[in-house]
Amino acid sequence: MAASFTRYQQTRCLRRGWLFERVGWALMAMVIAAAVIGVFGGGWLSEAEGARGEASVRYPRFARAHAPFVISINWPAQDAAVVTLDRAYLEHFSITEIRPTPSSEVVDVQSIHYSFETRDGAGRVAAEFELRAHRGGRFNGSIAIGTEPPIAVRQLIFP
Amino acid sequence: MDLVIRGVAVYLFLLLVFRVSGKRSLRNATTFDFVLLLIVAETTQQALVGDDASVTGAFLLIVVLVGTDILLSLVKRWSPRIDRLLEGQPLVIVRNGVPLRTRMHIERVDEEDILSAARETRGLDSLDQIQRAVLERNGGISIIPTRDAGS
Repeated sequence: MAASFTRYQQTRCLRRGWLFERVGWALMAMVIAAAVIGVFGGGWLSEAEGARGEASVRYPRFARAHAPFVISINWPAQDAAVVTLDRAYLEHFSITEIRPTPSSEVVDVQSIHYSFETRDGAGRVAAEFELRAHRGGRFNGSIAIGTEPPIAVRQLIFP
Repeated sequence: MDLVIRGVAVYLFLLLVFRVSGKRSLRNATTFDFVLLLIVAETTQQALVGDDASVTGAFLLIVVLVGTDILLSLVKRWSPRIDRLLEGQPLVIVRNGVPLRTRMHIERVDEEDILSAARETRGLDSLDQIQRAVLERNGGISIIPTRDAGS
């Protein structure tokens, strides 16, 4: 095959190869930069927060399937401590750990309610849910704390 | 971001460890070295991946490792000093048939290694036939025969 190429064409092949490499390097650099800022999870761009009244939820808007991520919920210590997650959202995830362990779990048709015992006092308390997605995709859910309206959770999970 | 940090950290650590281990460690292919490489690979894998079993995570790690390698190659091209620091430099270990024993001792090369390279690459069977033997950066030994032996 090489014998059928003129010397000019060989040079053109080489130049195209070099250009392909350099374009690939640039793309790789962009992918790494995107990963550093959190486009694929685990960076400042990925951090999202929602709040209702004094309660708030922090979660990653970008994550990867089969990799753990944490939803952190906090609220004033003196309030009732029931965290409600909707089941439609949880269908796509496994909860691998809840910190601290809830005192009870109550299931109904649409939601799961986790109760956490607290002591009255100043300050805020927090609970963390560690989850893993079963697959990639866009997922929307909601988390309610006590009697406050639910906080929307919107995530893009990479495969 | 943690994937990027882990990938770069493990790459640089392995680079440092194998740089420190010397040129011959890269070249020697004994059973023990093979086993050592397997164990290092297995240990490294857990540190790199952790509990992330996603395809995206695997792709990201590969891009980070290859990208780090490319970046280092560009840095070495830009700075010959850094190149020498990271890769070392070729070292003459036999001159005019005379083995330079101090250098051979430091680099953990013995006469049999040199004669083995001479037989394999040049068909030579004694040091007298070697004008120069060079321990290359990759741990290999290059043999330059004397004029009589080369003809």
